[in-house]
Amino acid sequence: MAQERIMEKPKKKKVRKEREEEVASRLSDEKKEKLKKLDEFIEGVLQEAGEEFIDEFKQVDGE
Amino acid sequence: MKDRIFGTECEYALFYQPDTKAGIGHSGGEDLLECLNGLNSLLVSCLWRKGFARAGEFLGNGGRFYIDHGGHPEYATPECRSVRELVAHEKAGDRIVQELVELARSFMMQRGQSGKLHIYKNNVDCFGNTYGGHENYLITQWAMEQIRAIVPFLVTRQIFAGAGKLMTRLDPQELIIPYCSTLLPDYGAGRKDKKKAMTTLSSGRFPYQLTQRADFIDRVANDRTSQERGIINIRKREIPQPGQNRRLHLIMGDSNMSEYALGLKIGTTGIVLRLLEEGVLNDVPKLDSPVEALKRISWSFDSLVRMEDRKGRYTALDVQYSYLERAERFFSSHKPSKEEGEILQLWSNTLRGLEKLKLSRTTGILEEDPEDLRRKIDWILKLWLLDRFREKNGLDWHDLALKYLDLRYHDLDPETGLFARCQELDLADRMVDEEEIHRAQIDPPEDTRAWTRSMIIRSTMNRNLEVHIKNWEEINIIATRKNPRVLECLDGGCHGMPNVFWINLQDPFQAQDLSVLQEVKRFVEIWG
Repeated sequence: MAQERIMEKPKKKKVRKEREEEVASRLSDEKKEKLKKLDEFIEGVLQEAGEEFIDEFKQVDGE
Repeated sequence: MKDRIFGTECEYALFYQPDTKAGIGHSGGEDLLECLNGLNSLLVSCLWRKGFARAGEFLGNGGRFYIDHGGHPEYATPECRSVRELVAHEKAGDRIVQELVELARSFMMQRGQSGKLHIYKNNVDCFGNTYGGHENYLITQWAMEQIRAIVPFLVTRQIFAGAGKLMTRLDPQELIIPYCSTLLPDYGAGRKDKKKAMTTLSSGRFPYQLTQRADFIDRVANDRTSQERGIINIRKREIPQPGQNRRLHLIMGDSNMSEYALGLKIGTTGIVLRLLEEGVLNDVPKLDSPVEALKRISWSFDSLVRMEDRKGRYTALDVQYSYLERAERFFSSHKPSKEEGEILQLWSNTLRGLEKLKLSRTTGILEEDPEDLRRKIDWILKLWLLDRFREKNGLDWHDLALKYLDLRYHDLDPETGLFARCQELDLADRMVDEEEIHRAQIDPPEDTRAWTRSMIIRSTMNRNLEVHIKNWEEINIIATRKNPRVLECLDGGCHGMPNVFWINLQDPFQAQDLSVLQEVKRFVEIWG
């Protein structure tokens, strides 16, 4: 029995580690997805403003 | 004072970009002013069309919406007794003005005026004009007399309360140059050196400041709000009775997009005012030159400032810790309220997080932020966003696209606002929930005079009555001549009640003034 218990321990650890990795990877995927959405949003904001507007902005800024 | 009244006033900036080339953007100053007046009138009429309960500028939620002297739409929160409630009410104000802008857009479309109309909650435009995010705190008369003891706290709180700003070449040069030259270690204060520092600013060093307002503050104390501005605004217009509590009016802070930063700014200021009133700030060190320190810190997070009668130089964090330690010492023997306890914890966590923050002095890159302060503090979140975009696209810090994104951070439109999108993507922490904000758009705080004022507004709406709310205290209800009974009874009053009812809600703490409401009810029954 004692031997079985000793054998079980690493298994649990391994399973836990795998779960943690899975959660970490899922979190990281979620974060990546959020950042991707953020980047797309920023690109969209600048596209919507248009180059012409940014040029006008430059004039205001004295360039 | 354990109980305090808090309130804020936000001046918003309208942005209009017509679709046609011949639009207002290319017109002269008078056309621009006419356009601005037209937009403001439209916003005020939208307030009526939206059906908000209101009497003049005062709203049924206890707040106030109006067009300020400079042509800015402005929202003032009702009198609040808790920081959390204040945050909900300021955010409710943001939602109200955004809703007005959305309605104004649709009316403009109907009239064939196509273009982009946005409203920004920031404090400086790209022409270098500034507008305020004001704070109000009710304090004792004694505390007002000792108010200079909180100046070092106010000067340094920008490290968590600043909204961040990317400089443009139109920012006041006379302000930039001297502070650049004192900040950049390689340059002295001579004219040549200043010029050299300016060249460095425009070509190399990253032009990012912690706050938008610091450059526009030029006095420690002042009673004005334009041209000259003080760290402490002394309101000479208000003449209180001896012994009466005073309104501390602060105009040096930034408007916050982050709920967390807003709550921390108001909450920590409230705690420091409590310390002042309890007499535990008597020995607090004073800054050698507060206005210069304000600007220096704004330019560089880890700037060193001098204190009176102290050797050496100190960072803003050192000064903040000296106030935090006094607060912790005080509250170790005085039980803090639940909210004070929470704010103390947030303050302590934030300062420890800022201690671990690492910024590159040369590139401006946020190198380490182990406590994730970019989720909480506006200037850090904005810096992170701008730097991320800059690096991804290989841009220079002076690229105008970055300046444009800086502006968009403050756009209140959930579809186009950069901060709003961060909040939607759960990249920014929140202090209140949507339900609280929604409630604050409609209902006043239940524990201040705002509640009574709101009930008066609601009970007199759609009646033959004129309600004149002169200020936060004084209300006049007048039976209008449209009502035939008024003409019949004008001479002697009706049932012994005159046709004008004057109400003074002098005590801001007095909520649910039922005797006043009973009288109003009777007045409405007779005259309304």
